[in-house]
Amino acid sequence: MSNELFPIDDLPEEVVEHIFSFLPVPDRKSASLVCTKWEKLAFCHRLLRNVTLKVQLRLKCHVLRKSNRRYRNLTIDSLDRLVGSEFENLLEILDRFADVECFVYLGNLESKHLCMVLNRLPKLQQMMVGRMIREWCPANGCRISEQLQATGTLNNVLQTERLVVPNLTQLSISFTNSDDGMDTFPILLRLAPQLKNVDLYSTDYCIPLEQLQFPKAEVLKIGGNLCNTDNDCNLLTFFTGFKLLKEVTLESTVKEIALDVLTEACPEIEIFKFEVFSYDPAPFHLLGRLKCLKTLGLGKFYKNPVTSSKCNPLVSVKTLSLELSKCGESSFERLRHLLPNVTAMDVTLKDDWNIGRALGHICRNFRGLHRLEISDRSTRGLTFWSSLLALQQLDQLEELILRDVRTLMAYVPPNPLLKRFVTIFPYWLFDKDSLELARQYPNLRYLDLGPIRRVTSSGIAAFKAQLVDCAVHGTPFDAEFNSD
Amino acid sequence: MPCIQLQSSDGEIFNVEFEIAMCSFTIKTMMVDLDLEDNCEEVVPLTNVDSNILRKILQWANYHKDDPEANPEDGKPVDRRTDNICEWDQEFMKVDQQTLYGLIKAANYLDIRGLMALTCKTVANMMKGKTEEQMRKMFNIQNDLTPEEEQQIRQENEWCEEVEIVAD
Repeated sequence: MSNELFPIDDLPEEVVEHIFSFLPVPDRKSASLVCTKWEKLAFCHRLLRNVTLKVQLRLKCHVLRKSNRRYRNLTIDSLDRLVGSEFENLLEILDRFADVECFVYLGNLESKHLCMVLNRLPKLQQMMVGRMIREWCPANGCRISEQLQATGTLNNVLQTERLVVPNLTQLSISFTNSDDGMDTFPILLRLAPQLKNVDLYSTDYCIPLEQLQFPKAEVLKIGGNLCNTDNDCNLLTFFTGFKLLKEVTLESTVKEIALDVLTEACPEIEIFKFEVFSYDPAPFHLLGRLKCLKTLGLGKFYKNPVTSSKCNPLVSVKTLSLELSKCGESSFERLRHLLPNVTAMDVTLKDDWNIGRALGHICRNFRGLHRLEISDRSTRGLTFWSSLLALQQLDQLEELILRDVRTLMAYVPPNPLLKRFVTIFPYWLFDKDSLELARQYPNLRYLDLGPIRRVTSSGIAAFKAQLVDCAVHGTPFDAEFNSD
Repeated sequence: MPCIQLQSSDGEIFNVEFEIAMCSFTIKTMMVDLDLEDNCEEVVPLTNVDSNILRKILQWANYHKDDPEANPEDGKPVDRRTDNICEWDQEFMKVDQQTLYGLIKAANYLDIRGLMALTCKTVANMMKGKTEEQMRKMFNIQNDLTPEEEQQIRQENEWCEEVEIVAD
């Protein structure tokens, strides 16, 4: 055998599989065309973990009939409600790939179809149903569900009772209107007791929340108008049903009385995110009950939060995530008193908050930060050194992440302690700036330059020559794109 | 510093610090099974590793002896990047193809996870961005797929997309 060739064929199959595990899917597609053995290995059951089979139901999918792959993730894209031929397609696909563990359905799925899916996928662990409403404008919000007839409903009840999907623990479901909500509700009701991760979104208040109980749920996310009801009793029943929550994200208004019962019922919550603007006063006094709270997220900071006087500092909180909008400067002092032990912050800047102003207040009030992440959605134009100067006050900072901060590397103050630096969409970053970085941060161990930049491979090599032990990430931006 | 003795397939004996030899799960298990933990006199034979490869491996293990042990239980997704190989490892990997092959075989046999990842990443980097034809040429592999099978794979591949693994 020639010394020049790597004898890959002599390696045991599990080693070749291990090599393939380091290849992104596009390269594994090329590998699958090399020979029979490689086709089997490049898309073997283990490596199918990071692959989804994405099927457009309106297209003919006869090619899948000959498939030998045991897909674990299946994404179905349906433009509208299922029609006859699409339904046939769906059935065939489900029968062929019964090993599916994660099922995503982009579109509306009626309960009888949903039952059918669930009954055919015994290994299902995760399910998402609904359009990505959060980024999608509901054009047919008031569509009537013409299929919802008496006999259909009866069938649904029978089918729902027979549902057995023991491994399903994650469910994400979006309701676009009351019909969808009521139609799918029996299934949700049936699955609720086994779910550990629940994500519910609805454009309307449309499902009888008080009937739903999630005693095993550890992660809860609520969005849209799901909880927009005046019936406090129903709301309380729903939230008292949670017992084991560790992580709560409220992306819409949830009444304070609901938070009262939630924090009482689930003292183990570690992560709590909510939108400050909808409370007056902000319910920090309720969060005081959560002795394990590590991460606090405050979204939509439109105005200064009013904190009630009986509110004690939340000493367990180490990480604060903030979305600054139109709140005033005194907010920071209140937050400092409320959260004396914060060492990590991620801050999104909007509206009134430009980066100079925000950094000034962050760095003055939270000097002990080890990690800071800034996403700048408000500053237009270049950020000068004077705006970033405040970073010098953070003498324990080890990790700095800048997203959409348009600045030059020469403007970022030096820091001999910094270990990790990430900059996503730097305004102007050339080869010479990577050397500048090596000088500013002599102890860097991790550098990520994001996807858009003008540093070439040789710039990276020059940087690495300065800082030998620093790992550098990001896609090199090479000559062919460099117009100059 | 307590040492153990490792014998390569061609008979050479290496005196190795205990701590360094422990990077190999195979040796670790052998020590426990043979109850050699307090006995430094015994020689551990490694019948599948020759002295050239063993020397390289010990050099690597010595440099990485203080690396934090990767804990698969900590919930982090498994490291699948291949662009995070440190400078020293990149230099270390500048070997001919036969040595690279020997290192992979030995890392697999000795169950040294860090070295296994490094060597496999190196081969993966050789393959990245190559077409199937270039890969066949690179590794001298005969195409045994019929045109129909090839067509089937090509079409099926078009339906496949990469997704992020949330937890392993």
